[in-house]
Amino acid sequence: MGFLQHTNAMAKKNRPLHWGGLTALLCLLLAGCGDNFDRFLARQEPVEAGNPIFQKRYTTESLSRSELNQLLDMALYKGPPEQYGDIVLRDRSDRHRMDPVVFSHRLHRSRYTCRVCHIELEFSMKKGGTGITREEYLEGLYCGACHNGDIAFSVKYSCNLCHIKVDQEGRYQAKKDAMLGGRNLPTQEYGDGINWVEAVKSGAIAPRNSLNAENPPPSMPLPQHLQKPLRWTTRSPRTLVVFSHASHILWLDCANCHPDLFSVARMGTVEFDKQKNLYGMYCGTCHMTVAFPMNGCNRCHPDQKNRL
Amino acid sequence: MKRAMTKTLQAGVIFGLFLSLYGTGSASAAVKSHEYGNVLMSQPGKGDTSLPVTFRHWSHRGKYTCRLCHVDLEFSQLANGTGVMEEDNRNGLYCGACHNGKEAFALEACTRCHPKDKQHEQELAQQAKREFQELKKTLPHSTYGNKIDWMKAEQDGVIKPKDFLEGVSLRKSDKMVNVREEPRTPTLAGLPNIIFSHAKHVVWNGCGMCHPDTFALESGKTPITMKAITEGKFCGRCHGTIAFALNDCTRCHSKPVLNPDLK
Repeated sequence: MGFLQHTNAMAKKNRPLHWGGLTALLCLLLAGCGDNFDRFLARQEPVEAGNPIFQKRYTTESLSRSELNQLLDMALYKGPPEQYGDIVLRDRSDRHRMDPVVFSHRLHRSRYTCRVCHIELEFSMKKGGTGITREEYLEGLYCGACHNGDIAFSVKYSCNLCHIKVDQEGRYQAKKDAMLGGRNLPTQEYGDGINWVEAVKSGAIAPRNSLNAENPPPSMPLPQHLQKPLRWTTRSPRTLVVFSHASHILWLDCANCHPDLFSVARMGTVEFDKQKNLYGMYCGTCHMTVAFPMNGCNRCHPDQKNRL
Repeated sequence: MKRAMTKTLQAGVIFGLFLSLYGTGSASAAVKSHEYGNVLMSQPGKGDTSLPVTFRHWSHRGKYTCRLCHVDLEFSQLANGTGVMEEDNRNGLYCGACHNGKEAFALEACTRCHPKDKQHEQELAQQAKREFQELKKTLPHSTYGNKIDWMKAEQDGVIKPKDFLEGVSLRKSDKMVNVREEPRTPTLAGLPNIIFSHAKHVVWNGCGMCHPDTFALESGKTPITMKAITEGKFCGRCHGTIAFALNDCTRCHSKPVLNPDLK
């Protein structure tokens, strides 16, 4: 502002200089931006026939920078790492005067991939969407599929391992990770503090991908053009999105995302953008609640710093 | 100004969460196995104010072929495309063709299909879920959709779906059966080849379910894409809603790539 007032003051004294100066400034700015963008593109891997940068279409107005910053400040996870991915289920428990169930994703995902529970055992991706009843888990559905005293502790006993005290403000004692002890897990500075994708790739953990050893999940190879990370443009010229199918299928089934969340057509999901991701749709379905939260900007947007 | 903006954003976040919680799609992976293939039948346009009837495909398809209802009984393949009225049923059309007290329970047992109120609707759903779990125990399993391998169940003779209803179906003395296995090459490189089996479809569908409306008779004439299929066209008319789900990729993309036999 001060600078503008200064030029205004100068303009009052000497109008031609003002216009000339502004034009020069504008030219410099444009040249500078162009140069930056070119340098940014140059840093990317060379564009090959099989791995182009797609132009993504956006249907909504973009947020201003300050609005986006405010939204990020509100939406990003800032809680303790050992409670990231915890789901407090109290709807049915409250009705039966039991303490709520605290489910920790963190404890389960070192042993099983997402697809085991969310495809094979039919757990909903929405909290409370499964509608688990005691009769059902005693019969071996949902939690009871593993918590039968055989694979994991039985649902018939040890009630207080799942039903735990949660106070009025929603505080509870975080579950301890006995299963994770002694393993040298790769870390990250956000979310639950563990880089799960690296953990699988490095062999630190080997989660099972199916409960039924005789009837393993059908495995279809990725089509050729999806074997390299997909890259597409954002609304900001300063960065791209880099999305790796290969990292996702370590954990997920095609059916977890397609066609419900994302269209199978190339760049076919035009509706999704950063804002909707932050509201918990599209990528945000997992990447704000269970998978690494969007504090890890750099994981998808190369050249962006993480927001810790 | 800043506070107003924060408030707008907060409202946005809440609205977004609301949408993400309550926004329901016709999502195949999000549908539970006991609800896969359910169709809500109601006709608010014709002054119907009662709660919709939930038609459960799983409870019918072990006993009858698809063709029997969708060709012989003229049920539309689109939800509420038939326009079933009480009078029709009483005259022995549509549901009334079987639900006459002989073939299946009579129309007078209204509340077995029509819920009395919201609570009764939930009770019916719970009861159906229990029945489904019982039925599932007796049939071979699959990974997606109903998690029941109906095709295998039929092949193994665990179920014997009826294809003929006395007084309704026409006698077919000279049944034309096409049992060709048709290989198709996918558009995308690196995907396994598709094997379309007429034999497996004919058992359930005859010819009239698919030809000539959904698929042209001439082989390879219908341009099929996965996008169109996920939008409910072509194969997606049944696969993704009732027949095995679209998630079950390898059921169609079943042959190793570059199989010389299929070239």
